[in-house]
Amino acid sequence: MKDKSEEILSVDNLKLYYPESAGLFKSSNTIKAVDDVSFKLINGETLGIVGESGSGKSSICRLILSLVVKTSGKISWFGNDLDGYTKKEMKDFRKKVQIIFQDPYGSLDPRMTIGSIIKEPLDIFNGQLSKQEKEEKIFQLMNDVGLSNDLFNRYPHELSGGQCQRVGIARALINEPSVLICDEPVSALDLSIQAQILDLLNDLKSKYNLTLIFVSHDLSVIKAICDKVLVLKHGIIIENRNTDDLFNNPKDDYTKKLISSVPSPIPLAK
Amino acid sequence: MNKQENIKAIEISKTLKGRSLWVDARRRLFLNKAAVISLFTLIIISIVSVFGPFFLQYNFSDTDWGSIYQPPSFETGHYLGTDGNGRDLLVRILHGGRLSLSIGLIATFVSVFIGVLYGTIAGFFGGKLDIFMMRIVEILYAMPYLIFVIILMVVFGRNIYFLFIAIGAVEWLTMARIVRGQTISLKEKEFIETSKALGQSNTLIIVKHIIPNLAGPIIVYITLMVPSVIILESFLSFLGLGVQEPLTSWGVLISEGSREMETAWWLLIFPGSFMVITLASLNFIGDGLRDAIDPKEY
Amino acid sequence: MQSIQKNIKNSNLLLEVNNLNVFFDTADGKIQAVKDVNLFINKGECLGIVGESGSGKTQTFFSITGLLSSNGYCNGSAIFKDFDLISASEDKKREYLGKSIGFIFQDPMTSLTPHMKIGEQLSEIATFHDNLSKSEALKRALNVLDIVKLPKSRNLINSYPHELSGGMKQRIMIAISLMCSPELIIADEPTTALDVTTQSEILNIFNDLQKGMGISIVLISHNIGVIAETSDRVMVMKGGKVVEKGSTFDVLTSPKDEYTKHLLSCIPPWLEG
Repeated sequence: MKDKSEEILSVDNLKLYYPESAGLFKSSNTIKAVDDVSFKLINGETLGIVGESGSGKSSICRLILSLVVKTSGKISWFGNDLDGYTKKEMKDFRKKVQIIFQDPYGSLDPRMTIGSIIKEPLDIFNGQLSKQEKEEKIFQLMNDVGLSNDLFNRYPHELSGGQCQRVGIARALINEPSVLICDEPVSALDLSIQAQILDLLNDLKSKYNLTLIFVSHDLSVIKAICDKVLVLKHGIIIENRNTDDLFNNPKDDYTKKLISSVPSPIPLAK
Repeated sequence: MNKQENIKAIEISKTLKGRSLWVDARRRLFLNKAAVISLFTLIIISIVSVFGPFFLQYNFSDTDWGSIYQPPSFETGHYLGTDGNGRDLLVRILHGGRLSLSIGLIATFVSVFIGVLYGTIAGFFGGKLDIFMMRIVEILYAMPYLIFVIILMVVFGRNIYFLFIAIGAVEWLTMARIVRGQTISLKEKEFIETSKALGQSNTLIIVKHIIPNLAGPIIVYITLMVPSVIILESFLSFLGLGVQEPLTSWGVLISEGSREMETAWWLLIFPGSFMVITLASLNFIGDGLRDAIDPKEY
Repeated sequence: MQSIQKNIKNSNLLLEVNNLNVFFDTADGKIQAVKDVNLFINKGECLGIVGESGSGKTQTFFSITGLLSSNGYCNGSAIFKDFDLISASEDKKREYLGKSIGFIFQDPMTSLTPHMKIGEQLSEIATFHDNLSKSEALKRALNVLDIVKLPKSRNLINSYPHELSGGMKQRIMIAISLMCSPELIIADEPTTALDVTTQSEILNIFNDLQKGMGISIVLISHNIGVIAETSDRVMVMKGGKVVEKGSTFDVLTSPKDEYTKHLLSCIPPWLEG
């Protein structure tokens, strides 16, 4: 049984630098997408990462999953440095840490049916299951994420944005990962659907015992669902605090500016 | 839901078919009149070329010195006339059609196969491998193609099958470039990133995700490549490098016909017409497919 | 009460839309995107349009300005200063669009012509609509850059769209729409693709345009906060119909329609308080 306050993921001095423009005229400018970032992920919490465009928040997600090669730094999973992982151990890691992306349609292969999309991770990690067992699992997940059964043979372009995002979630959870990274999962959705998906994520978090990393540029969403928040600016962590502390008592000027820029939905009497 | 209900639900939902993108594309294609007529024409020409000669009284290699250079006539049975050896033109055109069309298809198939493999590997893995692979393509592109084919023909002889391979081996370069470009842009899409994050092997990502999504542009280029191959073969035959007697192709017939143009006009006009109609049909189908598969916003 | 309201409407009325319907011919048959919409905008006021995707909020204004795609058509009336835009010919519509009515699209990334310098894109609209000479147009362009708080530098005039940030591009879009002194600006989700700090700055610019220059603004957004901070009146749309309208304060603090209430309940609790 996992200890509730156990540190499961540790990021130390992570850097992602790349040259501004390659080619004939070599520029000496380096873009520091992620600049010496360190933080810890505690089991069972929802960690929010907030920042504007160019802050590096999406890069951090991709670095954790080794989708992008880091320039330097250390990422540890339960104390083990990912650099030292064999291929098999890496595959195991991937099973435990999953991701959902911002663009609901872009994350699904337009030529595949919903059923095959959700089935793919089963084929990769649980290939030994029979066809029927796999299908049962798929339908169970579809149920859990609120997708009706008759969508099994449909294609992404026949579904709404919210439904596509649910498919992405089902696919991510079918192998019961420990960590779910959500990279701006509701930013491309309508307001009422946003609320539904956020509620769904909360429910699934308890049902599947997940630890969440929630990336967003929307402060109100972060405040609503995250326990701790990292504020990023130009690849650097500006603040790393409990949500309530941060919003009640922002220390950095940048944080204060971010908070004050959010338009209030409560109109002034005119 | 208990197990029984579950299984029943699974069965029912599996019967509900989705409307795939291919179905949409097919519907759009059939709305395009030019494409449909061309498709029809092409099918007719193909069927006639393959089966036609069995219904005609003359054989494509039968010479008849008594009826040389006969103009088209209904009574003699030489509907399109005869050539300098007294051979029936219609039958020769149909045989030529078999050859030209099969070269078009087979050479295109060979170049698509090589090109797709090459292009997806270069595009997907990128980096030094990509640079190396594309340098080779660029060097081959720069080689004077015709000289290359002539050398091949001289060294290996004018074997008909070799002609197929020689043409396909050159056309793959264009396909490889196109496929590589498409692969590079597909690679950046989120569903590819997701597959990687799921731990999918690179080979399977290419096979299951990249290639099916390339199918659209590839199909369009195939329909434009077939006419290009046919013209290439005709050109080689025109120069005397193509098929050997008594086999014939449209290129050979046009070559012969052009020499007799002034006295026996039918020897040029009829093979030429078949060629033009076929190529135009392929082009219309290609245009139709492109509009069907990648429709602009309407 | 009704007649007093109508009188107030008339003296300041800029645009009045009645019984607007918009249809599209699609592969799945005829679809009605906008159903019997009525609205009005007075001079110097900001009307907010709230709705989710498919509500018809964008198509309503596309139809008035002649931007509907080729398979769309509309009926009804849209009287802009005594001139009915709906029944006008394409040429007449184009005279108004760009000159008296400015349109700002959602995505600044794709709205600017990639191969033309900023200065050219600004001048182009003035030389087209107002027949200004190139130098006069350039002078006006510099003035307009001031209004949107961009530096009046040669550098900026000579740069290409891809060299600018999203926020700067959107300011250029606003600047272009100001070039011919419009009386009405329609902004379709102008800040959705922007960072929250940039959004705040752009909304301030809209405020200046409205309060300082008396330009009427239609602000289409799905973000309630954006609407609350900028609009005097608001219209809520769903499924092509207007489900609620009124002053921003009334609609957002005491909504009457079920859908409006539902939308407001979906907003995460706000940050301060």
